[in-house]
Amino acid sequence: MSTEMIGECLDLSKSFGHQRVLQNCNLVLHKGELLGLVGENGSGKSTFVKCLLGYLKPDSGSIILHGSVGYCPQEEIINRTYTVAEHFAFIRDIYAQHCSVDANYVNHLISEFRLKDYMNELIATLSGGTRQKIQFITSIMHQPRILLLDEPYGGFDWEMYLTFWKIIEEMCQLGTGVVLITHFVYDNKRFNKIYKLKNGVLNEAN
Amino acid sequence: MKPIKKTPHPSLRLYQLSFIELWRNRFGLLLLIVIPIVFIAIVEWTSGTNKIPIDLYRYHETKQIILSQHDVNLVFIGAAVSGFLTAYYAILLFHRNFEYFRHCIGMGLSPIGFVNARFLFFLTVTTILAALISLILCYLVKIEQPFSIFIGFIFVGIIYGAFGGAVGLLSKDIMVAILLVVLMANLDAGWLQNPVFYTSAQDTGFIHWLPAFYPTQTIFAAAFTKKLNSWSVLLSSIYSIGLLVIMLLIVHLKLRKVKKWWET
Repeated sequence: MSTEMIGECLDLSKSFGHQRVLQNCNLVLHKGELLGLVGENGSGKSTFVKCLLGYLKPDSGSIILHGSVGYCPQEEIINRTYTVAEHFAFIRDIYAQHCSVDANYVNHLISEFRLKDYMNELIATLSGGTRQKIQFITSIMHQPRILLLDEPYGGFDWEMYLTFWKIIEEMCQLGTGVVLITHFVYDNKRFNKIYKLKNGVLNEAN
Repeated sequence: MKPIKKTPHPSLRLYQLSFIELWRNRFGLLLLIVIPIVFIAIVEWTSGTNKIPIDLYRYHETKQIILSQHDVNLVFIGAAVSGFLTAYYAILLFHRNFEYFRHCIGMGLSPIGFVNARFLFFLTVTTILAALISLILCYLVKIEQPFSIFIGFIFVGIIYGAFGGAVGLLSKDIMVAILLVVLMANLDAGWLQNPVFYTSAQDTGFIHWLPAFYPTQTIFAAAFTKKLNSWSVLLSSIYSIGLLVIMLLIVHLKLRKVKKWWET
């Protein structure tokens, strides 16, 4: 992990009506760092990420992200009418407008997640876990500098869970900063830091 | 790292994928071909051949001509079918998978690129539909100005497509969007613009304001007179542009909050 800061949010606050969901949240992400963000259902984890991505406008505070961003949402956001190959080709074209996309790396991911046999299948016909793999690859195929993952592995089997961590570790070694949001942290040792969001306040967990 | 140097522009890819989406939506594809044929066939089969007086509206004047009921009904059903179907396709294009495309905009897809690709595909479908209906009608009815009638069907398609697209974008439930479009298209293009109804209407002022009025008048003038109704063409163009601007404004309002993630 380097000391180079690639993402930062300062005093981030967000309310919905009278309900304060985020209160003066601070977070710094360094190059190659893996941060965990835990919290109960409805604690504001997804709101926090949506503020970082610009989907929601914070009431106050500042957000700085240096470099390309990858985001894997919790909910399934995928066009089921495409085949896997069509989906990846479309996303590759989008990313290629802004950064370079390494075809070998995309093929490596497809191979690691055992999607080769499904490339010409319609996404609608695939299982939930396979669609989750597609969504995860979609978020990292451009090798982003900052990666935000919201419950990315819920549908993975054990082998794919381990593959997921292998890829994340590879990315961190290459300098990607990762924020992983989850309800529970199974593997504390994998993270550089774990933050807990409770009652809108973000604190480093013990 | 070995970058992929040449990739198609995402808008071009999305335009191609829109064809694939239509091809895989077998029900939608079937409607595109079957609905015009079935509707026109039913009218051809059931319509009487009496001669009836029909009012055609030109700039501040109404011209009455005597036409075969059969011919009038066929041309009218062509206009109604064009309105129904294009509105349906516009709903599909702008309602379905909207969250996915919002997500793609976060990844870097340009909102203008998204709109361009979808809109270009919508125009393609509208043109194909207008050509199909024009060809069938030219076979069944003696059409005076085939190209102008084709243009008239495109106007109906754009106007109802823009309406369908706008409703599709505003409505969360696709069934509600379809119901709204069917009700509006049925009332306007499918009923009040029927020349038999229009000719004997007590108050035509309201009918003149409806979006399908000028395209329908363009179509009837093209079908049964040798002179182009340029006033209707002009007003149809204004309605088309106006409704398209409204639809694009709604797209803009829906997408304005979405920025590329690394631009926050």
